[in-house]
Amino acid sequence: MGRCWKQHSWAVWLFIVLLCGWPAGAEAALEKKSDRTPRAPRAITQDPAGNGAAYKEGEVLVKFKKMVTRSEAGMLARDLAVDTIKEFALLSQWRQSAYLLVHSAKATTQELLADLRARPEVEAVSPNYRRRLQRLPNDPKFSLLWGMNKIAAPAAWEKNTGSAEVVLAVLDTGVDYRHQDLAANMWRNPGEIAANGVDDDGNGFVDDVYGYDFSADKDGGRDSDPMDIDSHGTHVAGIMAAVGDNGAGVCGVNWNVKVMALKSFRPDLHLYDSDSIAAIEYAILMKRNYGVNLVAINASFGSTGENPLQKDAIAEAGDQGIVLVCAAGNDGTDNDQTPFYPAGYDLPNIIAVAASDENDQLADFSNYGANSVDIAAPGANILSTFPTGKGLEGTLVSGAAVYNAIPMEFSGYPPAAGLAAQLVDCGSGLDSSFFPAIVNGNIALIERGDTTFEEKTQLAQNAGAVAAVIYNNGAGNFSGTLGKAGSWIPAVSLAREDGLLEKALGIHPVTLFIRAADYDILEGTSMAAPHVCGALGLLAAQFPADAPIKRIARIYSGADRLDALDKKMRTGARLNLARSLEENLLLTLAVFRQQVNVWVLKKDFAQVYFSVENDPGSGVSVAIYGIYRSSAGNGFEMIKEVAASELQDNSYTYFDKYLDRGVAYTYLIQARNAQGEVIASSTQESI
Amino acid sequence: MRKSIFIGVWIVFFSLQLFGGDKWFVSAGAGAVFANDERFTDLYGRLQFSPELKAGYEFYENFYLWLGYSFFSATYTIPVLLDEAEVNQHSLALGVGWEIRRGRLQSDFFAALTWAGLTEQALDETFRSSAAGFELGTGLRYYIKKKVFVGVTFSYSEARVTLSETEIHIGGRRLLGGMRLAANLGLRF
Repeated sequence: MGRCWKQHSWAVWLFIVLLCGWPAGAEAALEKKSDRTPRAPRAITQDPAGNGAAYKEGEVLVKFKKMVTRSEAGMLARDLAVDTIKEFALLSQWRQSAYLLVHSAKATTQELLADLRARPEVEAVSPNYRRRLQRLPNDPKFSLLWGMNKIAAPAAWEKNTGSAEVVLAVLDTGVDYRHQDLAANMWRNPGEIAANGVDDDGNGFVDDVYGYDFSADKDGGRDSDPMDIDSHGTHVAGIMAAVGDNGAGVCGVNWNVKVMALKSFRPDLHLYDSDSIAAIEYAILMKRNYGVNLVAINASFGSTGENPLQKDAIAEAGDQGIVLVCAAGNDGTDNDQTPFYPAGYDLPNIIAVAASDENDQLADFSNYGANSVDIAAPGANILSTFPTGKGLEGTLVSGAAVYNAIPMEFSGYPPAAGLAAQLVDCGSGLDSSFFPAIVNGNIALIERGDTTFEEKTQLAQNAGAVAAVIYNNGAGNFSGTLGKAGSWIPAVSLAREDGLLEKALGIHPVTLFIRAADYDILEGTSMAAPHVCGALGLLAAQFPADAPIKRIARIYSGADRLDALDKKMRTGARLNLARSLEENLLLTLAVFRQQVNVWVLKKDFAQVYFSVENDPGSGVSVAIYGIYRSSAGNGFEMIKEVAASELQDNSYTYFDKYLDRGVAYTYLIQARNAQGEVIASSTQESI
Repeated sequence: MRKSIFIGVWIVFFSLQLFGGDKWFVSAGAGAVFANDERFTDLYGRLQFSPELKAGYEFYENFYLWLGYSFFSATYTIPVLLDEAEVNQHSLALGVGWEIRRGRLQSDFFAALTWAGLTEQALDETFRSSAAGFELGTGLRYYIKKKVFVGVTFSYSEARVTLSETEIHIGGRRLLGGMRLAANLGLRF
């Protein structure tokens, strides 16, 4: 009997609950709970655990313990105001526990969870989470776009894949507007008829269909054709806006957006400020006078000279609601010490972007700057669009395995039909002793490290190898260079994982291909910036009413704080597209250092201003804002606690008195909920 | 012990010598100071209330030595920060004067070397400094009783403090003192 009761107690309990127990008793119990008021209707709530998950409000999934007595069930029925929406009868039978989906019209999910967890009869509870399709594009090279996964683009694409109403500009070497992955996303000037030699829309530019060529590359004059003269601009455009889910090549941050080509580089691949100012002027004109919804301009270029005229042009763009997303530079230096422009102009409509790598480290080539660089985005080994046929793609075929092999700069070419030979492990290939005789006429497999690719490849070539395959000494693949043009054997790089697999096979036959392609890998902060520029486009599609400054705040708020980036840039964070697209709590911080003088004495103080915008759907409630300060490389300490009720017009100003001269101070705002958990942080602002 | 007795006897003897013949006067009063320093007046105000004490001894036919002390304080609320700054200026003067009396009226002219000081407390800091200066003035007394007078004085005093620029000090010259118009009540003995 006892065993029988144990086995079927859940069924007895369920019977009681379903037929008579729950609603009346529970309703009565609820009346006693004075702190519960009927909740505002809201279908979906963000999990306060901060995991980004969403669940259906008021619903909870419950699993009861196998041993549930009648009295326990009765108590539960009395105390909880819940309706049973669904009984998972089969699961309950198979697992010999009651599995229910319950609902309360008055208690929130969190309240229900807390109540149920406190019950000894309950074994497990869970919000009724909302799951989404894991929407990935069908672009065949998507798996090689590590950056898109790193910034959580697939999750972002569940919400939005872009809008044809949004225009992003590429101020660069031009764009291959005929590229299969870009053509559909090119902006076309609706007021201009192509190639009729007439300024149809009267904007002062003849035949400016896709944009314009502002560089003096044809007999000193400008022309209407912004076709890419290199590959850089097309690569940048692809990161921002390669057509997604079209079954071809790659996809951009925006699957659907419009790209305006502002070609400004000359054939020597340099840009003069006069060209960039003219390009910005055109962009402003098209937005202001012709209603083009231009959201941002990508500016993946720069150098150390400060130009107040260029700054003014960018400021004017800001006045027109255009954000300039700038590469931080590729010298591996501190922009605070050696300013890099245009990224370094102190303008609110500039985002200066550093490059991160596959391991979420600052890329070794990337500039940084605690005060002058804003955010990081993937910039190492980025695959994107190349002018048609100008890219290279390598493939190493080993049995059934096909590996992505990245041709090194200046690499020789194998025959079009592929180079078939034995793959021979040559260790780290540091000197000739690493290359066994058998490598002669075969392909050398070499581990990266300790010396240059040029030297390793030269040693392999000297040993008679017909190609060199250099696999990474860290995770993932990389793109390398042989340093200079020459009579090189084919040389490619391989991901470490792939290299180790091949090494384990011993000497075995492989075939190496290097083919012309419409895609290729580049790296640099030039590749990081368009990830952020693309994010602005996606935000404009998701939140079209937002002011540009708010879009920037969303990007900063949603970014992933990483230890490796801490104190290297204002956010200390890498772009997270999905979190930026969420309804969010946005903290905007501005700090001004000011001097106060009396008769004899003087001191500095900081005016710390922050504003808060809490999207209706953010699901967070702030109890306390903490103002934190660090100086002289020390950690942050809270200098002021501000209750949410102290804010006026969602903002607060605090005067930090008094500061030491010559000492830099960095400020940060954190919002905490009633449990003391940090639910949002501002950027770090230094003075 | 013998030394103390000797000093005490000497003081009594000297006082008897000095306090005879209405050669001494003391006065206490208050006045308005129109401060010299432009930046000071911008912050703390041009007109300051200033108490004063003065004592003198006629050492030779209408000429007298005098010792005076005056001070004034002012506060200033720093805009935005709403912190209070407080300043204090004081002056110790030692000089000579010449006086002439006609009936109940007496006028005098006086000059002195001064030792002027300033203290400014603000921004969690305190600044103190002092400098030598001078004071020139004139006065008019009316004897309401044989030994009691009321008077007004008008004087100008100035001392200059020069500061070098530091992390917390604004460099440059500061002028202490200013024009003073005071009323006082005094005693002649």
